[in-house]
Amino acid sequence: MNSSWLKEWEIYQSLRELPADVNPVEAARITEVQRTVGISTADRSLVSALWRSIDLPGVLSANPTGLNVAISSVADAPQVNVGDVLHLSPEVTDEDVDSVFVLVTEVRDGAALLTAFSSLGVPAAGDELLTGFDEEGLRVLSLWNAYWVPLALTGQSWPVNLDTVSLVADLSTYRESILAGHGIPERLLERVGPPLDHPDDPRWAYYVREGSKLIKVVELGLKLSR
Amino acid sequence: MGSQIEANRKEAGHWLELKEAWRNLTPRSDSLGLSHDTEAYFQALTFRYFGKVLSSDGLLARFGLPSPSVKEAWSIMFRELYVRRTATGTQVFDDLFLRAIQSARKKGCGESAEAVLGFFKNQYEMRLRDVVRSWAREQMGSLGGKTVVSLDEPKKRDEHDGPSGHEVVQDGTREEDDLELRDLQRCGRRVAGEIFAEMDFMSRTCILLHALHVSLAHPLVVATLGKGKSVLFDHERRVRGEVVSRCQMEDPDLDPEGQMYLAVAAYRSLRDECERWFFSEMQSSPLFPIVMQRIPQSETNQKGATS
Repeated sequence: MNSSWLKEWEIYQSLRELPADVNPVEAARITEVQRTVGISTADRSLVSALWRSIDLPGVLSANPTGLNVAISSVADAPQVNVGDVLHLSPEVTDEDVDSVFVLVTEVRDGAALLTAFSSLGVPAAGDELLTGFDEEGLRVLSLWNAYWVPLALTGQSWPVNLDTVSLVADLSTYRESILAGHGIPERLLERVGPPLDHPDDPRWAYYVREGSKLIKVVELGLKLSR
Repeated sequence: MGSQIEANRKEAGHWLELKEAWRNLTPRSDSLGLSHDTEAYFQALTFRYFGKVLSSDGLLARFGLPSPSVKEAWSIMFRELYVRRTATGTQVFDDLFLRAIQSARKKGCGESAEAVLGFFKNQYEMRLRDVVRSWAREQMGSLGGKTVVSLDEPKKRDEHDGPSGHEVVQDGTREEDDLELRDLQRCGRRVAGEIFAEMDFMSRTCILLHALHVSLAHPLVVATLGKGKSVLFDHERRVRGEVVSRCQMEDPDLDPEGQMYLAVAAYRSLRDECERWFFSEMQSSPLFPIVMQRIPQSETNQKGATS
């Protein structure tokens, strides 16, 4: 047997903590110095060409004039349905987190309950479920990492084409069983992680990191609803 | 300086060509059909990052991973990012471009081609790290799907240290009717009671929220507790460390399994005390909805299945 979760976490941490190879801000400083002495005029058109090449997600594509686009109203928000998988735009996630994929698990009153997929491929504890999808970033659903977000923000995402009927059914079974006080349904036991209750368990650090994935979209949602 | 502009244009051209080729891929494509120059650029870039990532932190040695050649590195990247990501692969470069330009603008250098291209490379390296992780899992041939962990590869540690990470991921279950265990549980409750009495509002709240997997970075948590998220994370970690060290001091001669059981008992008891206290504390009321939503689910992490 292998400590599969721990190995994956150790590799993940090792890789995340590496410094980046280049320092773009330093490169920009050099460009600025060149510009002040009258060198280089070609940058702007080049950056524009790169920018124009992006297939922008949802709401952004309707207003491709630049970033920090105004958040659309609920009326303008694209329809999302329970079972949709979304790849959230970097506009609504922090730049230092991985690509964020979420499952829409409920929709009501102009908001959607988004449940994040884990960055790892092995469930950490009893509130993480193997999805059955064999694709990086979509293997495990973090049932604990779920927040209500205004539909206006879910529009800033790329749709991911996946058949989630069975996953949504599993999720519903899981939730009903938990709420009824019966614990994790037996048929799902093989797909969740082991219990977590030692104070020195390395998984606590994982929950800190993963827990930050949806914080920016939650913050934007709170601002929007004020 | 004209040569720098020309070099930027050439490099940007490689990225645009890759992005266009990526967009035109079909599920059955087995290559990108890039020009020789562009393919050579990405082969070299991928190989360089592969080498850097694998040699850093001794990944090659620690996990016995092979070192891919230039062509293999690029082929692994293509396979992992596209062939094996049928649902999400098409957006990889839109996401990468958007993140890179966003980062450049945030740093105030969004109009510098050098900076934007630098952020492209940084983002590419981040994607490559994901690829290495996935590839490493495949190479080790043992990850994915299993949810049970074992004590087979404990980390090196001093004999006076607490249990290793590999050990504590286990649920330290013993027979519940064991007299010694009941003593340990009693001891755990006492230790928890002592620690609880010394804890302030912030510590108690942080322990409960983290146990429920509510992020301490959540804006409502930060606003209610009036401290920055890193302060809250530090605070919470310190209390958990205190539980472990107090348990070790209780009976230094206790065997590692007994120590583990005691720490689990003390931590569970502390969490329960914090939960009972939380709902009687009006200062916590802004957080009631988040906590109430999480309580039933968190119990599954402690007790596992009952059905």
